[in-house]
Amino acid sequence: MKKSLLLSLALILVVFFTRFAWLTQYPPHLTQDEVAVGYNAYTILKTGRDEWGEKLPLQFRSVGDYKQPILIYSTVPFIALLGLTELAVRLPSAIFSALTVLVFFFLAKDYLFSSRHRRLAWVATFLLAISPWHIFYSRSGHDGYIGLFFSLLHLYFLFRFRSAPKPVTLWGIILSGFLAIASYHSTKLFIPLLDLIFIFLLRRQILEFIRRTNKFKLTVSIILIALLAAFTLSTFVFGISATRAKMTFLIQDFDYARVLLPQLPHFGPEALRRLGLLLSFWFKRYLEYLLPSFYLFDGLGIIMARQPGLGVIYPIEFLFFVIGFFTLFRTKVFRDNRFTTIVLLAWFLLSFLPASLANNSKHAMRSLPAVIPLIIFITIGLHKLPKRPILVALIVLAYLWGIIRFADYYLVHYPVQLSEHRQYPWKQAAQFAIQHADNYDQVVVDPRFGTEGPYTVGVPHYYFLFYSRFNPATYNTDPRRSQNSSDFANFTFRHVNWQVEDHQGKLYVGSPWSLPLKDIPDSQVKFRANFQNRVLGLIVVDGNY
Amino acid sequence: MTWSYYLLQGLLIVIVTFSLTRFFKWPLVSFLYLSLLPMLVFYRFDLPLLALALLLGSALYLLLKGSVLQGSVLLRMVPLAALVLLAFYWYRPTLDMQKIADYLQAVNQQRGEHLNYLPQLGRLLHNKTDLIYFLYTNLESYFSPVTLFAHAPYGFLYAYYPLGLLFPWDFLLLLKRRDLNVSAASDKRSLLTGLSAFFILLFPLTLPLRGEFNRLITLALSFFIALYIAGRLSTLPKKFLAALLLLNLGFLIWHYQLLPVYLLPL
Repeated sequence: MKKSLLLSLALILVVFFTRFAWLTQYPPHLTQDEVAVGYNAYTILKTGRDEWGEKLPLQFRSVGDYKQPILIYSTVPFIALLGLTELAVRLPSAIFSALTVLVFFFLAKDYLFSSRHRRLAWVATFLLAISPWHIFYSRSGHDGYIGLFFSLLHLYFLFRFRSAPKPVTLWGIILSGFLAIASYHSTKLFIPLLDLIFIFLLRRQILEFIRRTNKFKLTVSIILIALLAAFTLSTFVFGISATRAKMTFLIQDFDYARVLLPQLPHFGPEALRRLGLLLSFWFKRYLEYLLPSFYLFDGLGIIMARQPGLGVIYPIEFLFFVIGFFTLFRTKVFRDNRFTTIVLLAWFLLSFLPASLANNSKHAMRSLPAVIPLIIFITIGLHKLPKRPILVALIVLAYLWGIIRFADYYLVHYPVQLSEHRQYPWKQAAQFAIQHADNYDQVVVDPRFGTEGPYTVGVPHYYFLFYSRFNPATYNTDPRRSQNSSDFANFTFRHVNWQVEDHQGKLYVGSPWSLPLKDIPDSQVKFRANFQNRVLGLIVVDGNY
Repeated sequence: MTWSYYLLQGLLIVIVTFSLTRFFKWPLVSFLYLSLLPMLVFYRFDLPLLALALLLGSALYLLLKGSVLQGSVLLRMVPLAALVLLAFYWYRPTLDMQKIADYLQAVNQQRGEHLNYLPQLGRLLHNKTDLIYFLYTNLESYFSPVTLFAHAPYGFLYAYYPLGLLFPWDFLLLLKRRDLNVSAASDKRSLLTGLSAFFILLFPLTLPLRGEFNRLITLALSFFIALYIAGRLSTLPKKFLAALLLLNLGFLIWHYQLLPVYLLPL
């Protein structure tokens, strides 16, 4: 009992330190998704409508990507408590990440590992608590963590149902599945497929449960489930909610759409040719998630592409992962070895399916559900090793080295190298412009910026709305919104052609690519905001000269 | 020129695969499977390279299976190592250490732009792992599940075309739990030991290298794996096997319709 208490305390400390400590400083600066979520939550709080004036929407139009609702609604109480602050935006994701560790512990302890191997539940939970894959995005206000939390809760209820089929557990399954689908795009495919596997594996128990359930209650339940399924499909899977899926589907991938398709010979039915090529292309993308480099060098996306970075696990864990994976069918550590093995294997392989169907290679966020079985495999691999003190010491050292490397990349290199990707200087530029906006007729903001050229096009209006705490009731009823404009008050967001502009009475915010420094007197440059790699990112220019 | 090349390549493939069929339970099936491998049908190599790769792959399979030479696994590895060294001498691979050094310097320079950069700590934390990264990604670009089943290495075919060296579904046969019908438990062990020894012997060699030598090793290993799979085919039910061969044929015809545009010139 005392030991469990000490372990729980240690676990809480680890989770608190990795998920909540210096939450607003690391990573520095909110991304455009975070400010968009924060401002939409703020408009819901103040007006009961989103930024487009839609009343309590279930799909947030935002910049046309139709964001999932759970993260935004979860942010509302934090904004009510803490105001429209960076902490309020990041807390929900961090909390869900911490809760995932908790649910994982109970799943591992109560349903995965046998009572003889209960200590493995502790080991696995600690490994999840320090997992770079699970920590990395949890501090960045991302809805993938909510999806993972509800997916895990769904799995917990499924195991619970198997052990004791009760109606309340069934409703737990349905509700958690619904919330998982409503939370994140990847789970829309992952959860139904996982459920099909469970239905197949538990077919006898389900039939038995149906047989002994009161017929009236059963009929009502089936009708309710059918209605909920129809609602879920129409609201979260098809229609406008499919917009994001269409935007990121594999057919939009550069290699496929721009390189391969144009060279497809004109022979036979086109749809069939495209499908064949797409299948081959998808298979390649899927296999990339099984490459060791994903786990060892570049899976986490913490650094620029084609540079040595970090994998989704610590290097030493790869060894345990391989051992655990290949001895999975022979392991005797689970309560029900065959059932658990099949579920874990299915969970692992299905986790990569939505990610492989999208348009980026090796996407750690979209394949996040895989972290759960991966941690179990690593735990089994660790368990298989002989318990010699020297070996234990070496493993601890290897873990320490991995943690130091992760900290080095996460705290030092990641903010610098992906500074542009995280739209780093927009906060500083926005804050300066907001302070001085009243002195000008118009503040013109050019959304194009970048280190090598104006290749990144952001949505900076969210930074201006967020840091000015602009009144949502004014913004979402502004007539300019009906023309799909993001302009508000005297802020205008458009491309700037400096040579043909009438500068008088205007304050300009943009990159040196749009506001050429050679044509602008130095005295007119009122503010310079660098990327974290010290390259000039944005400037604020007084047009009155 | 083109036709004579195709003819010679075809002949070479037929001779090698046909001569290997006697080691399998169902010779015709293994012949059909091996001679129609995507890497042999679609990819173009210098004929000596192809011949050496097939020889190396076959020798590895036969030596490790214990059908040709008796004795310990390590003893059987000797002629194989001699073949590899011969190939190494023949193809004179480029040692890429200078490229690696330039690469590391560029990465460090980029990191050096950061204010908080600590050179000593950086050197301790980065350079060694960066080196491993570079070596490993070189290896993975030649030989990995992706190159085997989904996307051949650069230089084998048009860089973006999603076609592997073997058939995409061949990995299922690799995962199949029933083992080679020809191998007893001890043979299986020696096969695994020998394969591990081969990997340990060869891969450090290919890590920092580029060029033909790596392509040769990739091709040889892929052919070895294909032979291993051919051995497993006999464990399948006959109907399933017929369906599989038809599927393979359909797959080849399918890609034959799409591929000409992407084919590299000879």
